[in-house]
Amino acid sequence: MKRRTFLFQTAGLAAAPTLSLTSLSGCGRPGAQADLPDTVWRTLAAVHAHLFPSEAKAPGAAELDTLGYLKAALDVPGFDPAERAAILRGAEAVEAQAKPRAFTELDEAEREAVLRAVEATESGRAWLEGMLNYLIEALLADPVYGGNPSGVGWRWLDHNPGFPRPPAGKRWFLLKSL
Amino acid sequence: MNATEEFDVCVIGSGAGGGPVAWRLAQAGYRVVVLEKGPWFNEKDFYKDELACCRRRAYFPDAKTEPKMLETREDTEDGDGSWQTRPAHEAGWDLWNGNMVGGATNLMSGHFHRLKPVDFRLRSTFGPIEGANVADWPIAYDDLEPYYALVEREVGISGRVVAHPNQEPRSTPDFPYPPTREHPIAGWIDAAGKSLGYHPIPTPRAILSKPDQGRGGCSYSGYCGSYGCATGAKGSSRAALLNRAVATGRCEVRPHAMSYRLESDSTGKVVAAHYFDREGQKRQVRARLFAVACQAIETSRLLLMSTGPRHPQGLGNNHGQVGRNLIFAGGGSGSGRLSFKKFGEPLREFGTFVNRALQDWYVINDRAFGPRQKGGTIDLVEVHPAPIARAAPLLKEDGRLVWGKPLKRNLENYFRFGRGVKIEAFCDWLPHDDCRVSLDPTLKDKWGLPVARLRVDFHPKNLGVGWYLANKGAEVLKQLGAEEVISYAVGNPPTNLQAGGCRFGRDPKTSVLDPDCRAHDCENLFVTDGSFMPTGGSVPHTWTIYANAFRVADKIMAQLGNTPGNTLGKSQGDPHA
Repeated sequence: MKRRTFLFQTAGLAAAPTLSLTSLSGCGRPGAQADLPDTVWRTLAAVHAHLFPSEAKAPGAAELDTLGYLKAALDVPGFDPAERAAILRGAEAVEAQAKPRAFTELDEAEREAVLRAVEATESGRAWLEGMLNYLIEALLADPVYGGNPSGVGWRWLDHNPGFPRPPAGKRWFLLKSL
Repeated sequence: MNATEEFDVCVIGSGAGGGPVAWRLAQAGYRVVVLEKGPWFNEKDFYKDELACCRRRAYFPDAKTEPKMLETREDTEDGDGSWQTRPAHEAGWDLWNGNMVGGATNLMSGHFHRLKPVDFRLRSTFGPIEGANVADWPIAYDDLEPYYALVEREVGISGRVVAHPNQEPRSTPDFPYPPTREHPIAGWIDAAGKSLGYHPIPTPRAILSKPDQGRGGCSYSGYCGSYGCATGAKGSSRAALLNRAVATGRCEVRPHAMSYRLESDSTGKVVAAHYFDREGQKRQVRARLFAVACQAIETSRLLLMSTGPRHPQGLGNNHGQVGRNLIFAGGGSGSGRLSFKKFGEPLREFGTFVNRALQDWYVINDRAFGPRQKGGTIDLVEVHPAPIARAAPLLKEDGRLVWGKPLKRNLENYFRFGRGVKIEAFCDWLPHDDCRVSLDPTLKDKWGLPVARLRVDFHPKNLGVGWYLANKGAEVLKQLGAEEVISYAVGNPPTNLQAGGCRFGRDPKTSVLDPDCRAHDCENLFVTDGSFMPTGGSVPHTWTIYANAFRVADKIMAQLGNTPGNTLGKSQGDPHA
């Protein structure tokens, strides 16, 4: 018989979703996002806009402030330097694939071709999966974490976020230090 | 260390196995100390925050610095794989279930079922099963029944008794708290189930349906399992028991206290619990009696680490039984989707519970399936609304990543379609030689302690019964008009439902604990979590763990005698201090 490789949990939730990069709970220093070069942020902005485009009736990366969410995530005390480095390497891989032009200069079809080529490598796929995970977090996590401004993502998907919602002083990394 | 500090009872671990002992002993006038490795959260630390509960695991240890080693068989088509060993987190397993005062009960969904009389006599009722170490319990259902009833009152279980063919005997006519409010889906399940000749029953919940005991009632926020409760309605060991124990002035809870060794003397008795405090300093506490309740895997680990002059292989382990016969819950799973288009506005109700179960096949008497045999329970529950967990599977399709407008359309279709109902089928996890805990010879945690090494395989019979039950659940969902109904059995364990490893019994050669859950070879050591269970029943274990811990608390009091010592001479401070 085929051995099942998945778990089931009575709560209906999977165990920790594994980010394809590295864990967010390692050791590091605060303020790591500040030293990612602007060029990298420009690449990441263009990648996000392609992965989650803005539409008239549906918010995209810009409206969800996915970049703001990612910056806030990088600024979490203890953010894993290895993950920061992986984010940087992934952005560099996108630009390398886009050469001789810059990714930001490409049209939609060209961006799609570049990102699918990146996906074809193991590290590139892991990086893209990580970016997509950040994107859906920015879409659906509480606005206290920097994305989903005023719950725009929840409204789009008719999602009820429940209550009470987390105040800034009780964000997950602050709970961990209690 | 304060060399003079001494308690009547030291409880190690504060979840479902620790809370009842601490509360009952403190209530009776004994001096109790509870050592808990995690922090002391309270209602003001629990929010509807999916990053905190689930994705960043704020209420759990870091699996990298507190790992476990895992041995499983390789995933091969013929099921004849060789053993593969690696840290559990590298295999995607997290076996920590709540690292805080109150333990995993803070995060449970609290679908509570009692065991039934047949569960206490599986071997004598159905005979041995090849490749499994099935054993009768050394106590009967009647011994535990008064304590199931006690848990209904003390922890707070809401529900409604409905007669059905496998209803277990009760000493009270109904639950002390009325059922939590029900979603219209519950009524639709009742109608669908009855039309098939089945008996859907309201699932009891460890949730207060009205404020009581200083705790709030359920606020119906729509998120329950995996999330801490912000009103205190959920019957966690912390909210329901430890807060009351502390209020007596006779129970001290020490958070951030990682026990690493129970010291025993030349007579074999335990004299002290050694632990690391928050700063990593070694400390110890002395007591007349010790109760271990760290959840099954960690309980076995602590006993194995606790060698002494009369316990060279670890406490309770003079016959090499500690860690053996670890069990989980076997079973199956599945789901179906109800569309807003078909079911209309009533389906949009949010926050109330589906709360339905079927126990028609708790014993399966179906010739087409084989001889009369043990079956299990089917819980039908709402698909958890946690949005990121629901969205994440949409990122992949046929092995490719999905992004752009296709991803956005998938999200719209999924979130706006309707509501999901999940099938959770529970059968016995048959105990066997290849499911056990030992100490890993090389891997250490952040304190330099040897980590638990788990060998986990499942008995093939789990799958057969799991399929049978899951398919019955699917039949009800289809009858109800659900779409995309799927059902399947699950071989790997639900890592949040652990028990066994220190089974109780009458023979010291084949069990760790006596029928009172006292170690056969150590008179002042009790194990009060789910470790005692030789078999787990075909339900989640938690109610039984609570009930047995209340039962053992009475045994502990009988052993200590009715001469409680003086109360602690100091007041209790801020739990976060």
